[in-house]
Amino acid sequence: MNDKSNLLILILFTLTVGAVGWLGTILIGQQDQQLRITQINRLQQSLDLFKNNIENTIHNYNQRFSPFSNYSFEQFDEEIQHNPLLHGITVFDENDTVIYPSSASVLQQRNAHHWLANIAQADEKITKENLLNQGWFSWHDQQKENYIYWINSKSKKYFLELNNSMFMAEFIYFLSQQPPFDDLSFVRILDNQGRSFYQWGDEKFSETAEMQLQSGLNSPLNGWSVQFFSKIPGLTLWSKYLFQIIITAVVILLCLLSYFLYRIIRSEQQEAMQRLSFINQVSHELKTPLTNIRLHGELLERTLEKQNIQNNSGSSLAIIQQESKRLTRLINNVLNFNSLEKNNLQLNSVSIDFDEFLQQAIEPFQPTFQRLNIEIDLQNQIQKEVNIDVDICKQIIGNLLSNIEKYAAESEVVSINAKDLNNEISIIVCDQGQGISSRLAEKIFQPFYRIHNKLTTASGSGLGLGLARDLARLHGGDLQLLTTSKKGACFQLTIKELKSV
Amino acid sequence: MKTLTKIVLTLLVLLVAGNSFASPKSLEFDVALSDLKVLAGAPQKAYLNINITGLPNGLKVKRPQTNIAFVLDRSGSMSGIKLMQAKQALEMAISRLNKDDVASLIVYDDEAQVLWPAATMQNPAQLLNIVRSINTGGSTALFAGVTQGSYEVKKFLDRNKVNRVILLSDGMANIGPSKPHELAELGRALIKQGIGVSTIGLGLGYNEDLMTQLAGHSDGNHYFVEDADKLSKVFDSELGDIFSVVAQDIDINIICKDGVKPLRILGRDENVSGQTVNTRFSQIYGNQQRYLTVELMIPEGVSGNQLSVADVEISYNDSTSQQKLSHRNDVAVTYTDRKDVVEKSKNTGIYDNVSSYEANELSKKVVQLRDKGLLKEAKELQAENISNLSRQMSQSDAPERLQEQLKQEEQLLDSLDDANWNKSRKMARERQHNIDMQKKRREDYQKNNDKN
Repeated sequence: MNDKSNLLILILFTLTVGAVGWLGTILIGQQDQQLRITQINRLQQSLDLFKNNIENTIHNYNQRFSPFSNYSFEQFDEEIQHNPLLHGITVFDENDTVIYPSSASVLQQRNAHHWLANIAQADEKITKENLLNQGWFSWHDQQKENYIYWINSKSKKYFLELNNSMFMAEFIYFLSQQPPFDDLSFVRILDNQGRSFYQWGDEKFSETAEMQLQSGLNSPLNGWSVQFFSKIPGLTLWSKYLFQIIITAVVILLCLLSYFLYRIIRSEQQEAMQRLSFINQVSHELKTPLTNIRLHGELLERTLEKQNIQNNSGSSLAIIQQESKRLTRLINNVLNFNSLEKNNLQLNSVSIDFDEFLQQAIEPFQPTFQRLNIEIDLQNQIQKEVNIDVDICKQIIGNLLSNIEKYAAESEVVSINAKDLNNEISIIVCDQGQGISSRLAEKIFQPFYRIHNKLTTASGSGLGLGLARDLARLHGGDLQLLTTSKKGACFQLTIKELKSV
Repeated sequence: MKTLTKIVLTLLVLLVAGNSFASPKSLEFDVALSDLKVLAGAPQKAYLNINITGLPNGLKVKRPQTNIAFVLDRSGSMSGIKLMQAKQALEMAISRLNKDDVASLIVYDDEAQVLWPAATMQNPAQLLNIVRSINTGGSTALFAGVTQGSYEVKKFLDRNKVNRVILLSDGMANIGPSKPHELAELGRALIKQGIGVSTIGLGLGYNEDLMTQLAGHSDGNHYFVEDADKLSKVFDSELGDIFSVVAQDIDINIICKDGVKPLRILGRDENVSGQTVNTRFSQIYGNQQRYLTVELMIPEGVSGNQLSVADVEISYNDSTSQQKLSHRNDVAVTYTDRKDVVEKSKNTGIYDNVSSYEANELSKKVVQLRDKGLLKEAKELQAENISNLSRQMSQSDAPERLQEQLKQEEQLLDSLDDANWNKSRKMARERQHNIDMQKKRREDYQKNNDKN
């Protein structure tokens, strides 16, 4: 994992979460709309029901007043005196003469004739349709509301003048007996002057309500109306906000989480880089003494050869030589790895007989392999001079063989097969160790990766294969794990020939 | 039908006669004409006056049962000390009721709410708890409050109980019908059902016209209470009135003889048409006198002749015996040519009533003029009113109540350009209401109030 892929994942993750949140908001919006429609329908229904109830109440007056056409004048006296709803009664005969009250004043008579004219128009309509012979009319006069109920019966016309306030009181009592509306509604009845006549619920809703319904009432309450104001239950504005806040909070939390994960990974990498840098410095420091040791070891060997001294010190010297070469390889690995990282490793083309090159590359491992009873089966089909960077190529092969020494020591035969494939040199190195799972085919090339990171297993820096592949690629080729059978691992190294200098 | 009524009435009279020995009378009647002798030769105006005095004899045995709806304004303006005092006054009033009394509690702000439906007082502690828990709310749906109160009273409506709504408000009605005449009409409707509304206006923010009209037309009391700490006294006084009711549904029927024409009933808004005058008092309190004065036109006559003017029939419910009783009277005049005889025959008490009424009517007009901003005209009219009244008083042995009225008319004149007009107007309206009620005895609280 590098910085860029981390960032990419972070962005993708944020986008996904954002998209989920956005979709969620849309879903909520739809849900909200659905609830809104249901609520509007419900309110419309209760408004209709409510209006229906009001109309029924008004209709009941028909039954209350119908018997009046059969009353005697004495009964009228009685009614006017005791019926709180009645102010007065006026009766006309067929000649439109006032016959009750017997002593109506001129003014009263004149008023009554106005009423007669008033129902004459209504009367015309009604007789045409032949529906009703009773009904209402009302008018507004000197800030006073007047309600008249009239009956046209047996060629007599009866006008019942209502006590406006008692009529209103009965209406208010009826309204107060209505079942309450929900807590989120404000309902009011407006009279024909737009005054609030009766109201339920919190008046604040009339300003903040999200929906409003208004409907007029019928005669005699012309000009009156019922107003509904309502908040939408379920998804109120508040809960919508809450939902959005939750989504935002989740997104922010996830972003923070991924940022922290990213930070942890980065700091691990930085730690590794620091470790490497440290090793690099140490390696530099080690290189000079090691060169000295090797130089003097070789000097000593030559001196011993010259003096022909054959004893145990010879084999000890060989071990010193071997181990210091191994150490040199290790140090070269580290140094090269660092140079590669810093992109300042230059190829150094040298013309060499390929067979000789292979011998040179294998030669340092011969003593160890002999000790481990590993036989090297070398099959080289390239019998010519090639232009390659000898040091780098030796290092690649050395790293492969070094891994066999470390991790596949139980092998009996290690085969090295070199072929010329159009412009490319292919070297396949196979061991007979435990093999490598295909799952790990790529991971083993990552720096610092080791299959068994246990203390008991052989030592290693975890740099070898990765460096080998990087060097192979630098050389225009590649390094890949070929087979992954239980019988061992096979690596194929390809390199391109360099131009001759 | 009419014959049947007559038979029933006769039977009732017999019943009264039989009963009057058994239980002490609760009412005393004084039916008289303002003039016993009138000038012959031309039609003459005269007044028929009926004085009804409540006798508290029966109260010693048992006070009448009551059916009271307490209607309390709890709009925002009532918050704080006002509501606290109102609640205390209510608690005091409730604790004076006994278990046969019916009470209900209604509060209103934006809407009216029945906190305690009408019920006999079997569990006063619970009602007291509810009173204590009342909080203030929003607007003032006064009409709905009174309506609800009246419907609660109606549940236990009984002509033998004192059925009353007691309204306490400190503000302007702003929801539902809220014009004085609309409340007056409600009062008229309620009195037909036998329900009276007593109104208590608290502070200086209420509409005194609305409150006096409602009380006036339903034959209830009206009180102006400036400071909330007087509320308990007012409730006490109101309950005192209610508990001292000796008779209810006093139906007064005046049948004028042929030729005699009734012109108007002083201080009442019933229309006079035909020969019969019908009116009613809701109740008479013990130790209280109420009067009814009707202006009549006596036809021209010949000197020495006597004319039967009218028959007066009064029926009422006696609260103590819970029986319907009645009283009959007839009045007559004699024609004469001598002016001095006419003058001598005048009943000054009745003319005092008329003076009081006329002065009160003028006093109302003065307030109306002042309302229109016609201060100069108002002052002139009130000055005229005062000089009229004092001239009338100089002709007779003016009773104390007339002297009191004169004093207060003078106060009204002084207060017309007062900065404190709002308060003076409320006081004037309260006083005018009391005179309209044609009561001759003032409540004790008023004396106290006036002293303060």
